[in-house]
Amino acid sequence: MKTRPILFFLLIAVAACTKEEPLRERPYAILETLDFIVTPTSSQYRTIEFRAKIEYAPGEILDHGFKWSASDPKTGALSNIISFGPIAQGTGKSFSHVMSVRIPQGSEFHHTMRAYARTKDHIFYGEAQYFCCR
Amino acid sequence: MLHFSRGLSALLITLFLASSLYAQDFREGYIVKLAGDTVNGFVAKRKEFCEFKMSEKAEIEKFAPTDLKGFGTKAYRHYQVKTLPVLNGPGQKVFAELIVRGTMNLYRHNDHFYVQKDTGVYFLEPAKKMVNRVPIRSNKFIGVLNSLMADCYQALTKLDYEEEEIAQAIIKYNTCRGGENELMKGKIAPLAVDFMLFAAIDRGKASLHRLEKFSYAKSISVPVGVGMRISFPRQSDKISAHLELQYDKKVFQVYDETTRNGALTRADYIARYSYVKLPVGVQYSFLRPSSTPYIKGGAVRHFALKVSGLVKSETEENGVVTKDTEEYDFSKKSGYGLWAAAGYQKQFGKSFGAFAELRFEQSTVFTYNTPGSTSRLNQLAFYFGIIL
Repeated sequence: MKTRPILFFLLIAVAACTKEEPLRERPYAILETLDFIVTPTSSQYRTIEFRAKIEYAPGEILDHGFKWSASDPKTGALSNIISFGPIAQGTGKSFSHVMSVRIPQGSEFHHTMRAYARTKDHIFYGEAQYFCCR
Repeated sequence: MLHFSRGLSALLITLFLASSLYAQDFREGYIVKLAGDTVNGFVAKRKEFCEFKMSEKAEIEKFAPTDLKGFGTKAYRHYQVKTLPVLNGPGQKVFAELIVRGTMNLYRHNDHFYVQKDTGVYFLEPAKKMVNRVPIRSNKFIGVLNSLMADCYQALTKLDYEEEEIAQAIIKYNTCRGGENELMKGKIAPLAVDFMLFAAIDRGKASLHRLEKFSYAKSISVPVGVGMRISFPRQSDKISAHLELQYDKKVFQVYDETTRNGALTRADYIARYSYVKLPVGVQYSFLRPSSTPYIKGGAVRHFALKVSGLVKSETEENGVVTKDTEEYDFSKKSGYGLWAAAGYQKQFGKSFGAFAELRFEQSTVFTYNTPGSTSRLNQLAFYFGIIL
């Protein structure tokens, strides 16, 4: 008999949890740029995976993808674009791109990237991710 | 520096006053009037008087030993009016606690013991007495007992002047003589410990000095915990001490919008705080423990397990929105606070009870990691749990 109230109590305690409030609705899409995944393939080459997630889309996304450059974020503009085109219902979807990069022996190598999403009136850039190696 | 609210201070003062009511703890019991009729109600012993009330809310009546034959509490203490012998003077009527009833009765009054056999009442002189400020061991009381028990001789030689030892000797004697023989003092444990399992719905509001954006950030969480309630039933069933251990994880979040040079920045300030806290306090129950409203309060110590802060901002300018994330450095500082609560508890059977209460707590918590930073966390929570 005594175990029933304990089990009931534990059920309530386990079921309850603390949740972060969802971000407020915005008139533009919101992306999260995820960390690079860098994998060495040979002594001079590495694959770099760009990753991002669409946290919120107010409607149709006209274009989405990554803007990147092989430079320090303080010095260089993100001049390269990888576009994946439009997406109708984007909320919750992830996208990624893998590229192979040659890193000359002994040279310093930088990579900066932001995910982007363009809607009718806005273009949104996710937080910058930066990767450096020698 | 904590600025405790007036409400919290008032509650704590109430709790202090409640604990001072300890001396007025009425227990379920009875009085025996001079005519021999027994009246049930609530009794409390006050030095040489007995206070009685018919019900919890009835007026208190005060009785001297000349007004009653006796009184007692339910299944624990029984007092009879006795004329006890005193040294160098005539005996006087007092409320003497009846410890053993039988062929020989044992009474206790002011930490001295008396035995009654047939119509005679005999004083048992304490084993230790002071002669010229020097403690002297006296076995005179053993001699008195041996002489009174000569018809069922036990040859008592080593006996401490303790209630249990004297009572056992008298019970043995009464058994030998046959007839009535009863240990009147009930077996109520001197200490009772109950355990509690509980959860709460907690609404916390934190304000961090020198980090105004985080001020009055709100968080709703579900802390869980275990507790221990310690009471002393022989003295009081209304006052108990509490010790709890709780775990909670809070996420404080504030949304803010600012415009500068035509750029609109929308920002979510998020602080995550997981901690263990140790509230200790005192409970005062208004009625019997089986079903009673109560108030309680005390102090609390927070032990921070993990603290982190994050700002997610989006700056919009000419249709271009740029997102940035910045981490805040918080000091993982353990805090102190005070708490007060009011609630209701109910016992279901002998081994299971439940309670629900509303609790307010104010404490210092984590701070922004710059010298002189302070913080304050106000928590209003609804607690519910089981008592085992």
